[in-house]
Amino acid sequence: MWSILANPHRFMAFSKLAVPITAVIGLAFFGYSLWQGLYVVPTDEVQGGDIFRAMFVHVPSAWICMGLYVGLAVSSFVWFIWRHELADVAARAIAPIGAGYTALCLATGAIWGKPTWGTWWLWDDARMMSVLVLFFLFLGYMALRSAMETRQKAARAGAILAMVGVINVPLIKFSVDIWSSIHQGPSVIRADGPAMAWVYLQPLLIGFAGQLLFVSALVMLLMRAEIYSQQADAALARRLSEA
Amino acid sequence: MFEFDKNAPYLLTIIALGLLTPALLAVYALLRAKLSKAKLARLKRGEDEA
Repeated sequence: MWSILANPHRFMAFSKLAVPITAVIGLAFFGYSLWQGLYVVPTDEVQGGDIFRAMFVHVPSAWICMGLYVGLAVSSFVWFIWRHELADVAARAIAPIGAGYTALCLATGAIWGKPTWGTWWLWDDARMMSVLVLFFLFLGYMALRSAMETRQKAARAGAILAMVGVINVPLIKFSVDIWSSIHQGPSVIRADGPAMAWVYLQPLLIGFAGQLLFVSALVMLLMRAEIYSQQADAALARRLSEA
Repeated sequence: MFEFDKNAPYLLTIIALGLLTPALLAVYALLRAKLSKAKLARLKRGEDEA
């Protein structure tokens, strides 16, 4: 399937249908998850009362931003090795969405932290700092690309940064195990299974699936924008060479 | 509508951000796609006329 979609024309035809379908299904899943999280699931007093319901926004955003960075690194790797233009288009499309979701993760984490831990932010907390580094990696990627003179140079510099920066993703995941952190330990992705009750886990996973589908739609939409933009640049160059 | 405990302002702010961020990203993506498509169409029209 990936080799078929690697052709920009086929990708444009596929994404024209896939964008609205994935966006609508994603929003429906996310809406269901929020409704379950806010109205249906019982309050968890151990987790500080109703504030635990923030989990249905914060946790999917954290998983999504890490997933997007892995997507950015993989796309960059594919471009770096095989020079596949669509992989670079994907990397460019992922970066702003990743930055947005990382900002959401940081903001919701800080707001959740205030009533739970009594503080918005801790500079010596490994989980918080590694997510902040992820945010700067997304911003740095976009800034670095826009500072380059040509598309090739931008793709090359961006790919190197993205590939080196991927080391931060396992650091985020294992930061609470390796270093002391105010942040709670893993409760879903654990070697001995999730510690969370199914009544909470089910809407959380559905919400994550919904956000993932929605984000996929946004990335495809931005990829379409990038392909249109490249075609416009090519048309402009043709015009200038003819003039 | 919502009846949460004393932490309701924090929770509602988080929910609002959780809705606002994807909405803003969607507007950004839609605008970029629309503008790029319009620019390409304008250039192609110019090529056809020339």
